Amino acid sequence: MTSSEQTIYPSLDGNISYIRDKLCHTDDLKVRHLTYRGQSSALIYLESTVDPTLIERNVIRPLRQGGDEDLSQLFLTLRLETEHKLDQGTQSLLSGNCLFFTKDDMKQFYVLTTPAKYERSITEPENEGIIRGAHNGFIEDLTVNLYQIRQQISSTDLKVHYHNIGSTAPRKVAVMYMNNLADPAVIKKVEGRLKGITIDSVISTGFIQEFMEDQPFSIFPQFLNTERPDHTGAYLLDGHVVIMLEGDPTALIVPVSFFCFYQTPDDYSNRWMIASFVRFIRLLSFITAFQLPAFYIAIVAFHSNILPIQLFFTVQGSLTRVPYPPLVEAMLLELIFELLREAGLRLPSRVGQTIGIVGGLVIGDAIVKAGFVSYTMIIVVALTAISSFLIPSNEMSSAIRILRFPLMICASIFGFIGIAFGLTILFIHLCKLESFGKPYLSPLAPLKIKGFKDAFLRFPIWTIRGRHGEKKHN
Amino acid sequence: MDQAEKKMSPKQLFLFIIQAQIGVGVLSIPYDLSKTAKGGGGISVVIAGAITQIIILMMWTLLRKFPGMNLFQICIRLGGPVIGRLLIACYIGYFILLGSNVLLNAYMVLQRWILQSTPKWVVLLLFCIMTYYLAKEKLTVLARFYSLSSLLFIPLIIFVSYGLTQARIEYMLPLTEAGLINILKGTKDTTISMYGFEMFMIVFPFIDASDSKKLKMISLSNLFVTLFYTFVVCTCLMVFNQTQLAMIPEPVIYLVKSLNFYIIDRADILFLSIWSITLVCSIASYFYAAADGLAVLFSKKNHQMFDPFVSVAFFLIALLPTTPMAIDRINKVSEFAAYAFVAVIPFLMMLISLFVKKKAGGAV
Repeated sequence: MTSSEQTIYPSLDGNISYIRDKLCHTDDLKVRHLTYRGQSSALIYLESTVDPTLIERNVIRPLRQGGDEDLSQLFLTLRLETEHKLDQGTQSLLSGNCLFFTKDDMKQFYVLTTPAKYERSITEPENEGIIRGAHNGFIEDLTVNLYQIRQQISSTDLKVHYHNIGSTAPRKVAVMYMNNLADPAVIKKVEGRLKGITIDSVISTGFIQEFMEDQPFSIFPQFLNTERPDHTGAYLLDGHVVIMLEGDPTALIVPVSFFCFYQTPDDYSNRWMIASFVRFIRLLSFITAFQLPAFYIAIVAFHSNILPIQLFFTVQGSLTRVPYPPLVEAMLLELIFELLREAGLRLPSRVGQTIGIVGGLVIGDAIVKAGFVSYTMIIVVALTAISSFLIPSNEMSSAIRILRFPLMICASIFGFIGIAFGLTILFIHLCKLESFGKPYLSPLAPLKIKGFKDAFLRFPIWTIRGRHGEKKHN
Repeated sequence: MDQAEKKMSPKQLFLFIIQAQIGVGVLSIPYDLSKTAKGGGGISVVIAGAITQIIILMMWTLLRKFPGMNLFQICIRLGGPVIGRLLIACYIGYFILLGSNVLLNAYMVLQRWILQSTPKWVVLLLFCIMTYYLAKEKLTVLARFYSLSSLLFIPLIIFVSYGLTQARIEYMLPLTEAGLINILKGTKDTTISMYGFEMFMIVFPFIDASDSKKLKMISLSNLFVTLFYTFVVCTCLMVFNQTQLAMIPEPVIYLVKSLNFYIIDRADILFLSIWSITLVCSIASYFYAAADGLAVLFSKKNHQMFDPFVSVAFFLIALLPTTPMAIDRINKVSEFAAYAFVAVIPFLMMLISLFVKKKAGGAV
């Protein structure tokens, strides 16, 4: 980390002042002078990172009472390590340890593990609720998160590998995988890319994601993120690699395919026919979420003869009062919807109701009465909005919501051919995408009919299981 | 590792060849056939399929002699650096010509049916962007997209099958009304829709299968295409009578247009939009072949740097002919070019390869 590797000074004061300097004379650094075996000694800690009762009860009291016993006997309940490099010691102060220097032994000092634990309780993640199944979620503590996964997968093959990322404020990153199931090529890629990250500090998992993606210029997410341990565990058992950051409740899962973003843990606790139906509806929403406005524009502006004659009159009737071309009409309404969505996102629920009233009543009805847009357009935009919320993954849902704007422009210029053009480009792009060397559109392209069983539909579990064996052959 | 990534599976080969083969021709063959073969159009298609199969067999015997090589590398191997490169240049020219011919015909159809007043260069540009975006990738990406867009055949086939509800078998009978000679003549009109299988010669070494498996897969795709064409031709011949057919240059679209699907009218617009995506695959195959040939010609490892040139060439060649006469001429030229480059030259190369092998064997 730093170039100087200062070893312990022979005098107590020298050590204390070195650590003080190192920590820029911060005010929360506490030094307690004590006596041990008749010699003066010092206990150093950062009061903001340690548990004060733990120190009082397990460090200071034994020292006062116990007197001259060996240190390992005195601090029976704490983890005790010896160290002689001061910089290492300073670093461990930051992560909730305290240092014990004594004149009795000036060749080394002791590191005692006394971290403070202020953690959120394990609750269900709010934006990934399920109906049936385990209701726990990840929290901001890596060890607790690992505990939750270990509890689910008690296998000797589950391997965790720690990395430290960030040059000024390093944070711990854990890479997890099943040693016998995960593809070694993927593991090598993940570890290699993690090591390649050069940044001063990692703020969130989004940083890791952006540094490691195959195609950062794509609109589609190439990492699946979840806060659910059961979801993560299922992917681990499927041979995927999971990356977790200390202090962040999000687990990143790679490699993923497009269809992973359309699956929820609920699919596997529902009966398979119902789950298949729901999944089918969700994939249908993929199409309606970004194509419906474009389709409508193309029909109204170019191919109104595609509509059966009665419907044609209805649509035409509602359009006559609208002064704008369909594209402007659609853009207007879509943008209003996006505004409402973004406004409602961060508001507390009491104010959120106001947004609902403003959106539903004022914009929904009044905008038609005022003659800005037609009723049919309201229906189309409402349908798209609902469809875009059907997608379980928030990242994928945002990607798809943005996609409809270019498609709308294509449709307004070339009609159906424009939509065909937009979709072709989109699907070529999806065919090109790879997530850590695995094709993104698998099992659709490359076409694997067997994979359909768990991608489009959800076949009975006994027909899906046993795919691990196949995976190994590939 | 990289080598393994580049290979495509036999299934993908099957769909790849189908996508390359089914192009702009299918819309108009019933019209062409009704002029010569009349009711026996279906028979003409089957014969054309059989001829294609013979050519495929011939190509296969040529290709399996040189494992790990495709057409261009074989050209250099057989013809030496000078003649071989000349031959490659000719092939590149052929691929560019045929590709832009498909492009041109695609524009003609779209202009007639959907985009009446869109300028020609805009439509061509759209197609060029799509094909460029696709063909500049690795072969695996092409194969993935082709297999994906093969799903679009399902609605296309459903659309055409729906026409069977109005079919009258008497329109087609008697099958040999035009006489055997005319039916054979009709075969010639069908061949133009069969092109595309020559892509086989380009992708042959990149398939992850044994030689006999490759032959099996490409024969299957030829069978599929032949059956599909036969089905389309017979349907059209049964729905329209001879006098009607003589007036409808694209009977397939007309057939779809005349159907009533209750939910939508004018299904032809949807049909054409879907069909234009499969056309992109057809053009992209020629694009890829030409760019790959250029890479071999200049001894470069990948074809990415040549792609813009190929794209511009496609665009310009398709843009040039404006009169119906000129378009007809370009169709004729590409037809004859196809005879030469698909049948004659590979045949000669196969003969030479037999000779070369004997000579080499004798020397050892």
